[in-house]
Amino acid sequence: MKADDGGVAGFFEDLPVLMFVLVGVVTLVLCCTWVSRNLNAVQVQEELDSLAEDIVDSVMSRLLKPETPGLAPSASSAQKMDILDIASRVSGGRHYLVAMIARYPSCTWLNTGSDTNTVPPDATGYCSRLLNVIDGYERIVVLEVRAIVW
Amino acid sequence: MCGNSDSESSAQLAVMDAIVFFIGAVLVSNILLSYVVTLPNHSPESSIVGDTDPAEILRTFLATSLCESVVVDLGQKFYLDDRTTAAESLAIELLALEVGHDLNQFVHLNRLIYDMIRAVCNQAYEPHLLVFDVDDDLSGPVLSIPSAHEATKSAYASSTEIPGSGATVYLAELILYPTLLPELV
Repeated sequence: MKADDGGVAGFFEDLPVLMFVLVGVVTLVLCCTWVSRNLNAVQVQEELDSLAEDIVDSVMSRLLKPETPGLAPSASSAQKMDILDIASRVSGGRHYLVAMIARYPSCTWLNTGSDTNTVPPDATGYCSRLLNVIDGYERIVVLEVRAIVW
Repeated sequence: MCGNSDSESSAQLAVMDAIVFFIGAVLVSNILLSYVVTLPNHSPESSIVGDTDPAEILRTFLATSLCESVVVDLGQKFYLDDRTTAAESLAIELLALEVGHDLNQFVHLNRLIYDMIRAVCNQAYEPHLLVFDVDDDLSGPVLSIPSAHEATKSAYASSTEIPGSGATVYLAELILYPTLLPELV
């Protein structure tokens, strides 16, 4: 009978091979999983940011009134604006919070609107724009329109 | 004997193949990771857009009223009412500097202008407004608010032309220096 020396030795010789192959495969699998999760998160983030931008654009265009170009909007019109009516048209079923904040001369909240009382999760889209409005003393002040979407 | 040396060489060959595969896997992983890191939402610059766009801040600031009356003493007193815009007050200051008045006469106005920019821009940034004479590109800024600022490695800037007296055109440049680490802004 012939002893199977080569077979036993081959198994132990194959252990380093097996280790390198396994570590290589695990590295590839972990990396691909992490990359795909990140790509997905980036895509969701881009969608949310784009939606927040759309909401802010809608609020801004309602304030600026394209039919009367060159006329600055008033702070009182921003205070009276129905944010829910404007934002719900472009929110696409997502939850949102829109805020109008006077930034100068004083920092005050003029108007807010949200479709829910729930707390935003980790992934939120955000957009903020500045514009000039006329206050009650006919001064040009700064207004910020912010939107958070989730 | 001959059989043993054959099996040894084939085992070495297999180990070599496995090492090559492992190096290949590490390289591919590195390429994938570096691709994800270069995506727009992973770069620190992405946070500046929208939230703190220097061009938007500069445009908004220049059109904003002082909201406070300022008296400038230039021999005779100039009264800037609260509806005077930042662009108009800068034009008056630049005209006065052009004819030889001292910058110290505008300390209160410059303090107010600085407060305006601070109120408009994100608190995570330190603003610095510089005004240059477009025709005289060799000299430094004509006006600097605040007067001195320590430059940092990364900053965001935007510029726009503002009219001066007669044919003189000035370039207003707003620089935003992050006060926090760029990754946290």
